[in-house]
Amino acid sequence: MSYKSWFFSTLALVMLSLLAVAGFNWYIDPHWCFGPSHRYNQVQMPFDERAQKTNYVKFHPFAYDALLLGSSRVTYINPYDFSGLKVYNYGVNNMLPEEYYDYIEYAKKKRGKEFDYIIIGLDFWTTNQNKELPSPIKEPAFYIKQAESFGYRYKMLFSYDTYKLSRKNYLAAARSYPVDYFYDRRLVKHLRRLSEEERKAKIENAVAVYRDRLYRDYTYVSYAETFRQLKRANPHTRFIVFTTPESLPLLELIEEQNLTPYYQQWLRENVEVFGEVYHFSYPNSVTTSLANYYDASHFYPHVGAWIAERLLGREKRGLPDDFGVKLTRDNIDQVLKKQALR
Amino acid sequence: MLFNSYVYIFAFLPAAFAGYFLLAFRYEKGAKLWLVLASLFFYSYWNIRYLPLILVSLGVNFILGRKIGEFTGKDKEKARLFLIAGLLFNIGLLGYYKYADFFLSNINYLLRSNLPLLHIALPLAISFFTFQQIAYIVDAYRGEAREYDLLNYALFITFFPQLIAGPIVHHKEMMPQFRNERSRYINYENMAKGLFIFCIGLFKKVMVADTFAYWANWGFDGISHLTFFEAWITSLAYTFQLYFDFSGYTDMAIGAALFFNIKLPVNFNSPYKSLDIQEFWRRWHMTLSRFLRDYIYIPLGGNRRGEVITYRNLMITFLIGGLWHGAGWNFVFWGFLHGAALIIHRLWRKTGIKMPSFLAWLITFNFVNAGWVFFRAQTFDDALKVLKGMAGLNGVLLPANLEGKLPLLDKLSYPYGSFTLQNTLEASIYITLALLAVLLLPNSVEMKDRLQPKLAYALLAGFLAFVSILHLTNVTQFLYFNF
Repeated sequence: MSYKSWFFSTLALVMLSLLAVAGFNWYIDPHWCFGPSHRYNQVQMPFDERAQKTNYVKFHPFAYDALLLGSSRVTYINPYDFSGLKVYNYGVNNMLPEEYYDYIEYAKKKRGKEFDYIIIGLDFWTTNQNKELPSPIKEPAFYIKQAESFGYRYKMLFSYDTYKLSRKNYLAAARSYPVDYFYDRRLVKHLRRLSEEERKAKIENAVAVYRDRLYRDYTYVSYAETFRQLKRANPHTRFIVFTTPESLPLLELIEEQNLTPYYQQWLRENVEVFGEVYHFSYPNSVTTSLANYYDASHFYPHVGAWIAERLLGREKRGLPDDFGVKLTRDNIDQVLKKQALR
Repeated sequence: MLFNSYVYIFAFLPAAFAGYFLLAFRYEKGAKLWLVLASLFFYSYWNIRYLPLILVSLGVNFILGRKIGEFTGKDKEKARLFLIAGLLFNIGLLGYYKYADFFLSNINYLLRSNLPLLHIALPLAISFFTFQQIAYIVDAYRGEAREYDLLNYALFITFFPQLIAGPIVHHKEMMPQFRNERSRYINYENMAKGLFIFCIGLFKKVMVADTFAYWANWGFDGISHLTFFEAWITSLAYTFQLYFDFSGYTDMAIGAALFFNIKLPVNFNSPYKSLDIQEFWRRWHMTLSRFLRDYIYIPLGGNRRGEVITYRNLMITFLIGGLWHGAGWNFVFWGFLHGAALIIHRLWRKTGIKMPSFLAWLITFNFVNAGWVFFRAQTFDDALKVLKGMAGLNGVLLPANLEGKLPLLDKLSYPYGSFTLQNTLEASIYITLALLAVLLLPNSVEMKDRLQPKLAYALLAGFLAFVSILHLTNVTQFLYFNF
């Protein structure tokens, strides 16, 4: 073999092996940077929703009317349940209100104008200044810069880490490996149905996590100014704000931890800023029935559909009457008083 | 731009190569200009802010070099004046950008003053291109280098394979290669050897050095209390990280330069095989050692003026060498340790006693390993933390997961405990493998020289490149970029 053939053979060997891996990564697309959608990539693990959803914004056509924001609870709301609206569910795991602004601005930039609606699901746990999150949260700027960086989506194709994700997704889809939660290629998140025992264990565990970490050394932090800033930056957008429905064990924990005054303060502040808040997180027929929940805080997608119906005022049959109440400056005292009496 | 990045491997290097050889056989100047522009783009890709600085440094040194060349042989005094101006300019530039805050904080400490620090970000590669240009003007003064063409000079300084972290090259070893008619045509032997050593270097950096970085970073920066085994894993992990990182980088530089038919000098020659400290410095960062010897140690008088002056010269050379690596007392102290070791080595040699090879290697390796602790640690306290652990002052615990598996130690009621440093068994295996590799395997330059155009070599190079490229996801910085 001459040096020339050796050089080109070696180069070809490297390039072909890399292209094989890159081709597989493109086909499964775990980073949501490309378009293929087929039966082998319908299970997409949410390994980093901030990255994946920001990549989706960057690399796909973005003709959405509304943006949905919130924590993992919100991620289980099917954006197609908002009938008549094209909603992009930008909710991500442990999303904090201080992240909203940057993600909204980024999505707005991609859309080219303000959104018609911004729908926000609020969680009470975010108000604890001393909450202990499982892992540090990277700023939105990190993910935006990453998605915008030169050649990012092509780089990720030539990555062993991407290959590992692709393989996992492929096996889950092709061989139906059991997965607790995953997205499909329409970005609808699915949640496995649990047995009674599994649910019980998960609820107990979740309550302990809330008690020991999220409500640890509770100190109330107000997000009023953060939300006002959002409103100022989006003057032509209608904000639809709701409280995510927590299950009864978590609602009881709030009381047990003597956090009710802060809970009420939080609701009042949100009503003050937004004018009205759709409130779901109080004892009602949905939150008291644990069959609606995967664990203490994550409701199943059918509950998300009920939330969407209530928010848009397009109630269908099956939506429990007592699920959701619109809080306004006029009725908040009365509603809170009534709920406190329960 | 980093060598271990997709943009370098898949875009920059192929484009620089294609542009150069498309132009080279017809337009020599055009090809050189292309290479200079490509190199400046390479330099600026990370941060364009310091592009003017390298251009000014390059321009001033070119003019001074010309002036020195003009007067050398005619008016020695004027040549000397221009040389002094050049030295002051280069040392001043390096002093301002690299050492200003170090000196200010020391003045503040000594005089209890409160002079404000400048907080200047260190310009990329300033230590390398400044030393290279100091060598050039000194060579010009000695009549060993002449360059009247700005383009040639710019190429000599900015040639991208060696721009960021060396090797530190001499004008006289580079420019004849660029002038060589045959360099303008693709040479497949050079291409093959270049690709081969580039693949080895990439693997060393991405797969080996970055793996060791996990334990080194954790041990040095993340843990306040290291037990015996944790401390040894930490220090050895860094010893191998540094070697595979820097020598891997150099391999990639040598490989990339070979694509352009340029042979860069060898910079690492299996340094951890050394049997004494003098041999170590003949094998480690060889172009820096050469610079320190030719431009500091010998001008100071070298070993020609008696034993005591020789020791003084050695110490001064290594203190400067230490300081070159970073603006901090830990680097100065590291330089002091090596200076002292070289003096001790000279004294030992005078006794005429021959030490058994294994013992000589063991002492040398452990000295180098302990020395790197000061090199890596952010503070003296951090260095002492690691050294104390290595000396067993924080206990000699074994990891709890081994309890019950070592009957002899169990009988002796040997203490077990939980380690803060994780995956220590994995670390121990990697350290052992790395040690065997650096001691038993030929180094990458030797492997490159032995390359035969055979399938086995293609498979080896292909595998190394394939695995490494797939692990480039997290692009990391080379350690020597900050020096």
